[in-house]
Formats: sequence, C-alpha cells, structure tokens
Amino acid sequence: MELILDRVTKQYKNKIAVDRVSAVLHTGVTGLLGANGAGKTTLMRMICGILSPTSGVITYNGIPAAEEDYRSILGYLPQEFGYYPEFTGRDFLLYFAALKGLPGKEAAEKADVLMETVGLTDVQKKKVRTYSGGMKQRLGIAQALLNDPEVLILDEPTAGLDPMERVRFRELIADIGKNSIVLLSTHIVSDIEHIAENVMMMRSGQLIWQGSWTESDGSLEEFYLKEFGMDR
Amino acid sequence: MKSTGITDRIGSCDEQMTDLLRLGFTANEPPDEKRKAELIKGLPAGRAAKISLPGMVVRQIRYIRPVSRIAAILFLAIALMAIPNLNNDSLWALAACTPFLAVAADLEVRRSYRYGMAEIECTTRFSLRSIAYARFLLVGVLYFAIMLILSVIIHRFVQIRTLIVFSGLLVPYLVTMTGALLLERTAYGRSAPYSSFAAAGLTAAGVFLARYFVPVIMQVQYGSLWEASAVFLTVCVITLFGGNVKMQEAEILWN
Repeated sequence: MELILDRVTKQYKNKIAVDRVSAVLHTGVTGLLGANGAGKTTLMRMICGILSPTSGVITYNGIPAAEEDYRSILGYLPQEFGYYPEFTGRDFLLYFAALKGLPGKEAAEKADVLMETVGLTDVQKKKVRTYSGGMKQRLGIAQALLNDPEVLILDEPTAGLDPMERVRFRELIADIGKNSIVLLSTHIVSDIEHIAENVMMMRSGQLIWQGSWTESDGSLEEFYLKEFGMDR
Repeated sequence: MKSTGITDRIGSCDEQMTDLLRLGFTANEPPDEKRKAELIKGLPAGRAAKISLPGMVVRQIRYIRPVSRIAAILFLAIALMAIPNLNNDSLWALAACTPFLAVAADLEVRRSYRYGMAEIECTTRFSLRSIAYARFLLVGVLYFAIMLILSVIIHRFVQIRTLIVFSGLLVPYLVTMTGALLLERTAYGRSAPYSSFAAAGLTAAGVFLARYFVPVIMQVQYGSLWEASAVFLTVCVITLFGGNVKMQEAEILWN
C-alpha cells in the first residue's frame, strides 16, 4: 500500500495554498500538523479527489486520486459536514453505505457494528439534528469507516470531542492504522503524539518537516513549537 | 585558415556536446499501444462495487424527501377531485399547479449543497454527479408518470387528445424547471434555494393570463405547438441540468 503525493500544488489566483508537497504514505497513522491556514485541508481535499491539484499527481498503488477505483477504497471525514434533516443516525450510515456500493444486508450489519464502535447504538434511531457536536463527529467517523477504507483521511477529527471521546478515538484510529493508510490532520499535537508513526508539518502551504517520531525523540509538541518559531 | 589546436579541440567538443544534447533531448519512443493496454490492465484495481449503478439509483428512492412525495400526492388528489366536474377551465387550473411540482423537483436535486453533504458525497464510489442524476431521474419520472396518468383520465372527460393534455400539463412544469435551472447559474439563485418559487409563481400567472387572453391555444389545432414546446423544453431542461451539475462540480474542484 502506497499513497504517493508527487509535487502537489494548489494555486488560487495569486495565492499558493499548497506548494509542491511530495510524500509517500504507507500503512500506519500519519499526523499532519500545522496552524490554521497552513494548507492542511486543501491538501486533504486533493488527496480525496475533491479538489484538482493545479500541478502534481496523487496516486494510490498506481490509481489516480480522481478515479472511481480510488474512491472505492477511500474513507473521508471533512472538517465540517451536514446531514439531511429527516435522517436518523442509522439512516445517515445506510445512505452512505448505498453510495459506497454496499448491498442492503451488508450495509445494515456494518451500520450496526459501527454504531456500536462509536458508541451511538442507543441514539441510532434519533434524528441527527438532535445529536451533540461530539455525537455528530462520531457519526462522521463511522461513515468514513463504512467501506473498510484502505486510505482514511480525517480532517480535524477530534474537534468537538470531549477528553474521554478523544482517548477512545485515538485507540480506534491506532487500530485502523494497523491495516490502512491513515492521514489525520490536526493542530493539537497530543492528538497524534502517541499514535502517529509518521509526522508531517505544514506551514504556508509547504511541507516543512516530515519523518517518524518516537518518544525517545523527545516532546513532539516542543519540536512543533520550535519549528513554528513559538519557542517557550 | 589553418586552425590552432585549441579551436580544433573546441570544435570537436562542440560536436560531442551537440551529440550528447541531441541524445539528451530526444523524446523516448511512445509505448506500444498493445503494451500500454496490458500495463493499464495490470494496474491494481479498486474493489468491485457490490451494487451496480442502477441498483444505487433504485436505492435512492427511499431517500427522496417526503415533501417531494407529498407534493406529488397532493397534485394527484387535487386533480382527481376536479375530474368529476372537469372542463377546460379546470384543465387550465391543473396546468397552473404543475410549476409547483417543478419547485419540489428543483429543491430535491439541489439538496446536497443546501445541507452541506456535497463534500462527503463527492468522495463516495458513486460520486456527487451520479447522485444528482439519480435524483433528477427519479423525481422527473415520478412527476411525468403522474401527469401522464392524469392526461389519460382527463382525456375520457374532455375531448382533447391525451398528448395535448399531457403537453399542456408538462409545459408549465418544464418552463419553471428551465427558469429554476437558469436561476441556479446565478450567484443569487445559488444562495437562495427557494428562488425557484419565483419562477413557479411567474409561470402559474402566465398560465392564468393565457387562459383569459389566448384561451384558444388549448384547442386541438394548437396540439402540435404544445407537443413541440414540450419536446424542446425537455431537451432544454436536460441540457441545463447537465451543465449545472458540471458547473457545481467545477466549483467544488476549483474552490
């Protein structure tokens, strides 16, 4: 499994949102760190095929990111997402299961398992509009996992989660990372400190650092602050 | 002139360099088409869809908004109530109702953007384009079928050809749909999802005005005009809808 980003650039008129980013992602969790406006979301949208790069190529095992074959192995949780007002939590999952090509019986089974995994079984028949921010976020995570993705892209997934939910979420992502490529963007270092084998740091659209990080390397947070010129 | 040793060497250097540069800038031979096809075939494919595209379209039926179904039932109910006392005037009245079915259809096909679902739907196997077309097809077929059934029933009560009645009901629907799709191409139309009500209101008013000023147009001799208008507007709606889908995709892609 190999997700290749080759000199990926996105330019909006005279603003370069992502500037010649190159990386090779393998199975495991990769944390994408950067302040707000660093270009993380734009990069993730390009990896998901939602945005076309101005130049550069993104491929997974040779499949370009814009193709249906790629989307069939992709799971994506955007920073913000909506829902149809008439949907219950379960409807939401079944709807996306249909769009991901899962047959009815398998979709229903998968929805049950994922509702339990994210702790929403009790409220699965309630309308999504009655859910709290954390519950909606967990529903979004469940949606991203419906097709057992080989590439899982999570844009600020811990936003709105309480501390307990964050811990549960990290454990879940670490588990998924054993068999899939997981790219998780955040500006909170503790979200990825203990689960990401690989870390990428972005500033002003450029990848300023990438590599593996272990506890023996010291505090990732201190390194991150130093790289961003915010020494304590 | 006899050359010096240095110029000889420069000369030979130049030739060597020229050869090397020529070699360096010579494009590789294009790959053999057969080998290229084999290579593409050998690339790892994604997972096969467990349901087909038609299967996905059928499964979208259960996700059609209740209000779109209610609009269809309401129209059918009004029409069936009017049928026992049917005359030309009630036919005009029914024709003035169909623009509001078009509003329901327009709101149905636009709801991914309205409810912020477009971004996730873009990343699913069947993509946003397929979803938009599926909804357009399902709602369109439902409303067309209702109008066709009503036309057959109405034909039995008033002596007007089924096809003319059908076109008479269909044309205001298609005019509204055309207006709504054109509105959607403007910044105002995109930011105001209910703007299609304005198109429906204008079309309904147009139908009433036609009833009072040119009532003769709902007569047999104008049948071919209605039929030609219906065909022309159907083509317009399909073309505009396809264009809008592409425009919205491009807007997301280049946003």
